[in-house]
Amino acid sequence: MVETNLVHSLGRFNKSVVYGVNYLMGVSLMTEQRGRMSQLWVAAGAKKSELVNGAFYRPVGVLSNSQLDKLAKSEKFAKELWEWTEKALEPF
Amino acid sequence: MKALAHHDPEHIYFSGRSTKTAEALVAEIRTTKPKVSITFIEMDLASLASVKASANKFTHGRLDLLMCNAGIMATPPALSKDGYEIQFATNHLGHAMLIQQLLPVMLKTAKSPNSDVRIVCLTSDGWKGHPGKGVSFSTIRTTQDTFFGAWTRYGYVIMAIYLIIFPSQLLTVI
Repeated sequence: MVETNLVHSLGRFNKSVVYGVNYLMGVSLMTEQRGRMSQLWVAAGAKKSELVNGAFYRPVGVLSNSQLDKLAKSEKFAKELWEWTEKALEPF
Repeated sequence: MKALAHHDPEHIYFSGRSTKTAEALVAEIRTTKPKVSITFIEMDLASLASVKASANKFTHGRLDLLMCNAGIMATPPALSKDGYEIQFATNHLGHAMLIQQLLPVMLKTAKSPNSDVRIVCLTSDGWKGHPGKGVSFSTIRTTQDTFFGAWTRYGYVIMAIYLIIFPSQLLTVI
């Protein structure tokens, strides 16, 4: 988690949830300066050949598909969500 | 955006709800990069009509990089303008609309020689907090106001942002 306004704007209870969960996961909150590195790396820093399409990266630039659970890897669920989303966008 | 502007891109579009904040950011970037070409587009991700209208203000013939970077977290129970749970509407549906609208120009760009077109979606470790079924489609048009609801709702959304990626072959990142 990165310490942006997403965290700063929270109330005391929700803020403690963020810090508590990060503590349990054994990770510390990152500064904005470090937090933005990941998105810049996948956007522009990494060469095309260094990236895996559709992959999940954790900071900074660590391919982390192995951390995903069963549901996150379920193509059936992904398809269901995709189709549901397309339908939801249709009326607009 | 400051980092990207530093590398002399042909043009940067960015969106947000506040014109004032946007102007301040552009002014700051112009202090070091006076000639940088930037367009701000006002957009409210919580309104699908707003996202669609704003996306259509993109007038360039090519788009190499789309970064889906906005989001809200653990907000009080509420519905979006379109009647969806507010976190799901903002973080997932808004971005889905944006991607859908810009995909044609990105696919076109991808066909040009030596192209390197990327869509980057930011998510959060919060996806691990998703309830068993991932997304509760049956209650998505309610505020889902339950015990620990703010975070459960967040879990649904983050799961959605992440999962929508696979079928479209997009890149994700935290």
